[in-house]
Amino acid sequence: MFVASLAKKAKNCRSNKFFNQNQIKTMILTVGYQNKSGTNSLRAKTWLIMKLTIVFLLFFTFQVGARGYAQKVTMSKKHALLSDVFKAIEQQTGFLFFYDEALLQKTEPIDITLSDATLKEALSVCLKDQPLTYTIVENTIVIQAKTTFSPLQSNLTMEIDRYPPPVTIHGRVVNKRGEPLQNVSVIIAGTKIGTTTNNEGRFTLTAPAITNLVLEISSVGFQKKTVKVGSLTEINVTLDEAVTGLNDVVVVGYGTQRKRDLTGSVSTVTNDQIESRPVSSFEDALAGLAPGIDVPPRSARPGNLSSISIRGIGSITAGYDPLFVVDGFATDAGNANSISPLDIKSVEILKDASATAIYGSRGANGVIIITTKSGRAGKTQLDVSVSTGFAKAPKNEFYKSLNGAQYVEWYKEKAAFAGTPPPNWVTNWDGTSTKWQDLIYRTAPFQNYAVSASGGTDKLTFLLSGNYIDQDDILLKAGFKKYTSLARLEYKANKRISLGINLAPGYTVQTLSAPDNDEASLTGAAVFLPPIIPAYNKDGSFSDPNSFGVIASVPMANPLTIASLYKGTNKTTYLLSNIYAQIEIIDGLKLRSSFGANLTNASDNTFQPALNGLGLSSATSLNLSSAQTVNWLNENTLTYTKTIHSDHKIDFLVGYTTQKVTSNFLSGNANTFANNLGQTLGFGNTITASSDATSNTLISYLSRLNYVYKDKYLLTATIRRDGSSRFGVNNQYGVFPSVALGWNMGNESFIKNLGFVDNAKIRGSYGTTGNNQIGDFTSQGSLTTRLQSFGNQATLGYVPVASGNPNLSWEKSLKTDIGADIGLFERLNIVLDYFSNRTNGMLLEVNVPPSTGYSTNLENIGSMRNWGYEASANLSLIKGNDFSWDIGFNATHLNQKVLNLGPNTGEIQQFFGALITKVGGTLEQANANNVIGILSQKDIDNGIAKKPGDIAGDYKFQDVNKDGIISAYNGPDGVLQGSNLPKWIYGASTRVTYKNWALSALLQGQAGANVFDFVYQLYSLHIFNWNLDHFLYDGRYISASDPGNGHTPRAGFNDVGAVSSWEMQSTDFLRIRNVNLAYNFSKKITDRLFINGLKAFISIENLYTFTKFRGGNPQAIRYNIGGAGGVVRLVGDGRTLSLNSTPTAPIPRVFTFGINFSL
Amino acid sequence: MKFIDIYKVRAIILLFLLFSIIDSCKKSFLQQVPTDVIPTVAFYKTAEDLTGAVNGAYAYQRSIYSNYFLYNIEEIRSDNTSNKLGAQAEQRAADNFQADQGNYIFGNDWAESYTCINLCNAIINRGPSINMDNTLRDRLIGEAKFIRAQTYFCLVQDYGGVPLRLTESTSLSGDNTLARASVPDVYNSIVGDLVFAATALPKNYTGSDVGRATSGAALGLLGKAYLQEGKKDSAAFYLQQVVRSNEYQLLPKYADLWAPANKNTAESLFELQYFPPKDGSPFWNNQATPAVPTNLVPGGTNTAFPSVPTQDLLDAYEPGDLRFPASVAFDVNGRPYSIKFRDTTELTGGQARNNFPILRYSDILLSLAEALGESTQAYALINQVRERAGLSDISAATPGTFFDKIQHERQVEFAFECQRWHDLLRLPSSQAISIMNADLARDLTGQNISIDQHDLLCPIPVTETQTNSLVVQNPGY
Repeated sequence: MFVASLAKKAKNCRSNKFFNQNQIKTMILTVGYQNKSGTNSLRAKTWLIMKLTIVFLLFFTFQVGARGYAQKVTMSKKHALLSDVFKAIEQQTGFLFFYDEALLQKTEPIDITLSDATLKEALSVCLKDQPLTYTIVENTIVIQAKTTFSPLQSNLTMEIDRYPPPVTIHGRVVNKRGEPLQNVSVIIAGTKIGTTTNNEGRFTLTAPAITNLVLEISSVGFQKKTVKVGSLTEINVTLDEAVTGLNDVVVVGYGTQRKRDLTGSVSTVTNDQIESRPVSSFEDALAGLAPGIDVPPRSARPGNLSSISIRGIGSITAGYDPLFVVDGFATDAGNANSISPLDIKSVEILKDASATAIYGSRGANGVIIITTKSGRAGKTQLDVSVSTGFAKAPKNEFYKSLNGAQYVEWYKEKAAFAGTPPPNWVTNWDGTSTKWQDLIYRTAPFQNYAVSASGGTDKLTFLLSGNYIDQDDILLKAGFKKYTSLARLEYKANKRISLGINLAPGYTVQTLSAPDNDEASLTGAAVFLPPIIPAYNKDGSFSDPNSFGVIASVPMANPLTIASLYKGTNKTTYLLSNIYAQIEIIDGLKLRSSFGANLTNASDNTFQPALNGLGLSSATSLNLSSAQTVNWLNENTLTYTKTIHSDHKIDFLVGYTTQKVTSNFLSGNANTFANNLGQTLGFGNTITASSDATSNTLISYLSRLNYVYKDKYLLTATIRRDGSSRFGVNNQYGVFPSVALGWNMGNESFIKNLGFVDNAKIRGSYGTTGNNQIGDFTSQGSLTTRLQSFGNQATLGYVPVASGNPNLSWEKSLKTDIGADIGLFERLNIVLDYFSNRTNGMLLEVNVPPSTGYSTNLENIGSMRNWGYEASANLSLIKGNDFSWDIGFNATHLNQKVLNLGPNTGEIQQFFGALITKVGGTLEQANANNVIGILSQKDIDNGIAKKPGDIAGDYKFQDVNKDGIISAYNGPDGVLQGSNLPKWIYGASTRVTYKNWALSALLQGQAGANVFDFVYQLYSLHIFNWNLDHFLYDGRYISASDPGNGHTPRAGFNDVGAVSSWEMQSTDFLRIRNVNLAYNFSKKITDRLFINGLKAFISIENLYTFTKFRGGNPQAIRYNIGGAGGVVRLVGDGRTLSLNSTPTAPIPRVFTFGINFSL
Repeated sequence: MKFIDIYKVRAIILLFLLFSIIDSCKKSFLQQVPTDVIPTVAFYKTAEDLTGAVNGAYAYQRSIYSNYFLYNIEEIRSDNTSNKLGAQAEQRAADNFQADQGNYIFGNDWAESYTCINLCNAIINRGPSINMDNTLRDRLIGEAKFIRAQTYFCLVQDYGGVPLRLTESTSLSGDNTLARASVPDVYNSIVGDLVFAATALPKNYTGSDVGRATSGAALGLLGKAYLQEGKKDSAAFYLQQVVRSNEYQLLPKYADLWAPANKNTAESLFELQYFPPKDGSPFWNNQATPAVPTNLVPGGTNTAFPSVPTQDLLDAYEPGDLRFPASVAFDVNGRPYSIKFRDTTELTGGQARNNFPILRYSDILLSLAEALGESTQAYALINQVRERAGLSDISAATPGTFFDKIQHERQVEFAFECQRWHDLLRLPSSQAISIMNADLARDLTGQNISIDQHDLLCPIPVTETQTNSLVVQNPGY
């Protein structure tokens, strides 16, 4: 590039009559600089052009006139090579030598002694007996052969000492976090004099002592900055990341790509968006940062995983987890989250076929690539990050349970409606009003300590990092601790061979203080316990709620007792390890082989004490489980990168990988312990044990071609062939192709000429990916054991479990994406995408005649479609040296439609028809009786349709089929209540920096989902005398003359176990997810402290949530997530609904203060 | 260039090595074999496998009864007992003839029966190709045929002609439809299976094989099948063979039949085998009412599916019938409950020791009497049973028709044993209907529930009719 531009300039010089003096001089200087640090070959190649140019240029320079130099030279060398002497002079004077090495090879070594000699004197001595002569141009000394004719010969006599001395400017360039930036270009404005920073971010520049000297500092991916030098000789610069980020390198499957060459839909979240947040894993910080990805926290419990979906949920039976890839290693969510957020350099979210098809049968749900930080050559840098704070439950998100007086009033009215005398506990109420929810939450401390060291030489770089996170749960006695470390070593054996190893061990401990679900959970007990029961006995001990004669039928425990006696710990050890070798066989052709293993060992230990009324069981029980997973992966890729005639860029990849995952599970259980002292299996009765094992394998062949023509036209084609043990023998291999085209319109002259368009790219992709989350052995027919006894001796029988389906295969996702990337005014960046993912061959349990011996057969038979739009925009509202303001916004609009559920299956019913998935609708729509108001006596007198036994003040239901009877929800009067999936997910961010201050905020929200809240089922169970929510109290029907607000029923309303629309609620919310104020200490202060950088910050997570949700976590409900097991609830007709209806804890508000510094 | 060549060569060698190492193990690499289940492809290879599968078939046969769907249809629905206390709506509907084809009692009974049949089919289909001892093979296939026949026998009585599936379902992709066979065709299959079993099975077993199906059980069931089909001569022929085999006799005391420790007695032709603590019987737990003192039901979890004896049944016992105190007790509230399957040592719910009788010698005697028709010989057989019950002999002079007398005897002899509904089906249908209507009127006072001809057959479950287009629903559903 350099050569080309120089030649071009030289040509210009010749053809242009107006030679710009400065420009010409500048060129020479640049050449001189490059020679100093450039390679030998550059010198040789450029020499011809140089010669010609120099002749021209010197001619003009001559007319400038000579100026003096006062730089003095002192040296004493014997038998020194001329080149070494020149180097010494360069060092002492700051002047640069420019010469052809061939000339110097003809010279003899010299003996030289100089003391305080002028430059001229020094040069005269050097060249005394040599066939060389010199010329000084600005601060460059051009050495030429004496015999060469030059009109400048006479110039040798000029009085160079008259020049003012050049100044040397030192400086350091760092990023916002104070980390040094390497290879940053530092150039004197208006000239081409410049240098680049070294691996410590430092630079030294010799510049003419011109007043108003301005440095231009720029680097790929960062905003250019100009700095007035003035009288400073020490310049420290902080670069902000570029908003455009066009030259950013994006991590894609099996490689990286420049963002400008990208044809796929990839969102990047960088470490500065994740760190400084009080989170224990990266996904806690992911929400709201990128379009297309939904990160609902199912539980506020620290250490629990979210349930990420990318661009909607495209499967009913198979999983919808994205594929997680950590530093190239395909793994699962648990392992990905074991990485400390502070060790993460970037998170890439791959969404469309162009980006995900390279992951074949695992790409359908999108791919999340996590890249950890790596070592940097240079002085060892030590980064320390300490943050501490506390979490609190936001009170405004508590369930709005009734207080004692309201509770008593409600139940008094209930008795009156029922025509029974009020219960004793109503008439004898002593004024007790326990706020149970206040008792179960606490201020929970948060701490995070991280140290990382990185450094190395050109040959060997390393990064070592250790991190400790201690995050207590806002729920009593629960918490999460995470210990992680990361070691990365890379050794460059020579120019062509490099080797490396990554190790990331981690250990997490989650402590639980209650079962996860049902009224035995702390939240369940706190929400439903009557407020008229005191929490403590007179002696200060925890009360037994069942001893007050209030709670009917189902005993309940005091949550304080549960928390004090229940013991649950989940311990997990992780080890991610990977070694690799890379060989550059010929220029541009790299073979990379890696082998890695990913080991996980999870052990859970739950001791549930003998607690009368723990809900689940009145007996002690101990559950132990241990699961080991080994995931090993071998990858071999060959990449070839080549630029042909500067217009054609080719990047070709082929690869072969094998992967195997094996898991073993062991569990033991004992119950009925004599006391709570001995807490191992041996102290209990009825010890049972079980074990499980599974495995799956994957063989893949992959290939990708990236082709860029003239930086304008882009093509990406990928293909992967996956063979998986999970698939039926008739369908063991699948091929997943994709093709994508892009057009960098911004590089077309008609756009360029507009002047304000920085970049404009349109791109489109189409391809197929698969979803292999179908279970390891689902395709195989199998048998299991059954006990059978003969002659009073137990023996084993074998019975079929599944017939198997040899045709079983992955679910196919046909992905289309059309997108545009636009950058305007160097301030605004917009990314727009339309996407459509059609799932074909969706796995469904197809009903088969039970007379076959089986009731269902898993087949690839259904289809559904998720489509929508994504938009994100980033705007640099104000860009200044002292003050800047950036804002960002992203939104996703999601649509979903079930297209085909196979034969015989008009709809899929769950929970006896409470949830229905049918063709034309979305997944799992609630089916409920519509509440259309409150029954009045007049309604009843008019003979309006009502449920049996309903009286004035009960809910009035819609008689959909107008037959005069209100059927059950799953009968003809049931009405589908809309989608439970948010139609909109969005995020917004803003960042203001003023001098050393930076203030940022992140908002996140969702809209458009209506869920059936199972907790409301429990409110209708006032038959147990449980507490209720305010929405059933305020404005309730009291009498015909006081009918209330017209939508709140009377006390004791009759809707037990029904599924009615009053149990639906909107999960719309807008959350101020994070507010962060940071201060970067100036260099003056950090120098005094002998550290490189210091930053202090205050961060508030989940500051406030705007929502109409009636308490708890609006993202907690996802019907098909039954993880911890369901709770049995009554349905109207006596059957049971099995589902999770636990009140949830709100997402905590976390305040933290932290400092980061580097040494 | 030298430098490049060296590394090129090395790299290619490395590449080759890597690929060849992986290729060498590739063939088996994708064939992962589960260890948490038995892969079907690896099973049915040895005599042990076949024995295990047969054991599984017994376990399946037993769960048709244990899970109470069949009990709901064949005992509770009859005039002997009624589903009350705590019973679920669909159980009550099935009991009270209010059920439609979507009722899960029928759906689950149907599905469990065919799950059992499918396993028997697998054994019968695959057994012949296993390299093993022929006598043992014949015995095992005979056991499977016995279980298949017994299961089809229940199905054909409850539903009429059903799809007759006699081969294993190995792949469900494709057409799975099959029309209902005619009632005679189903009986033909039952007879064929039982004839095979009667010849292939031993007369008795020892040690840890006691409880398996015997040739006597096969003969007895064959006789009962013929009787139910209305072929009394054939029935008499096979039942006589059981009697003449001298393998069986009545226990002296009826109450001894129900002692939890008395299993596979001399009176037993075939019974469902239970062996706690892990493999116990749920009948006691299910039949005791909640008010039964907890010292009798230490588990105390007895509210699931109590079937309460009806007044019809209580009235059927003659004064002095020793079978009454051995069958029925009353709780503190005066509510009757069945105590046949009582096991007071049962510590946890559903783990009683009692076996459940499918075919007893007294059944053989009474069935033979019925097959022979009114005769001295027939009364002699009936009186054997009556004498054990402490009742006086009956004869042609005793009031009532011969068939009524047999029916009466069977009702009290086999109360709670899943016999009554099928016995009623042998009556002229008008008589069966009037018996049931009388019972319903008394049991469900004021609900105005009565049955007609169509109620004598259960509905084919909707799960079958929706997926098997060739199946035609029974009339009236």
